[in-house]
Amino acid sequence: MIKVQIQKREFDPQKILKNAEKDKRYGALVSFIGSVREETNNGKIKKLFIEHYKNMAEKIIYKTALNAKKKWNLDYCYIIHRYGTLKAGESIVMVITCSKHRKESYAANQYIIDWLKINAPFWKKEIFKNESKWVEQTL
Amino acid sequence: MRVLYFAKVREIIGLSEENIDLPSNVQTVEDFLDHLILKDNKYDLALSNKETIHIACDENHVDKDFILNNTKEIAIFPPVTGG
Repeated sequence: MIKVQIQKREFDPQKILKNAEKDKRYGALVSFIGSVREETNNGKIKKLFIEHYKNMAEKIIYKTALNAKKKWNLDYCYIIHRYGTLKAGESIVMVITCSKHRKESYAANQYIIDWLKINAPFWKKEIFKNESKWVEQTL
Repeated sequence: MRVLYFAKVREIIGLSEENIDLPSNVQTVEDFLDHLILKDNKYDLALSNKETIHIACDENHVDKDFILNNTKEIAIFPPVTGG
């Protein structure tokens, strides 16, 4: 099963994890959470703004999950990504991958987040006290 | 053709989207970028450093030599920074 969610509102990683854990088919679950850092290379941020290209983002993330599911024979794959204005400490993205054994879940999870970072159409802007800056791509 | 702009490109051009009829001399993405650059200073400022500009046609990433003849929607944006 693949589930992709792109949303403005905050999400609760613990709740999402609990739901994923209910599935009894797999023996391994790997979870990645990317969050808003308070201190960036440009200083202490007040907020982080995330812009996105809705239809393309949904399409690319779903396709990435589908490729990972096929390649590593995943039983479950869940990806959630936020847009809008976020505060430091809030979760931006969460990727859960589940398979029979751990190696597949680890590899698939890293593949998904790496692929998403260079292909999914989201753009971050750091908001500071007196200025704001678009984040440059770092791979 | 529906043209979408995102992030820094959107801010510099001052528009998130517009409709543009393709001139007959425009075939590829590169031709289209050149057409926009000549249109106005704002477009020139936003798009002249083409190496930092990424393109999607009908929601798929494409290279600058992609031929636009059946494209309904083109998105122009800086490198993505999600995740």
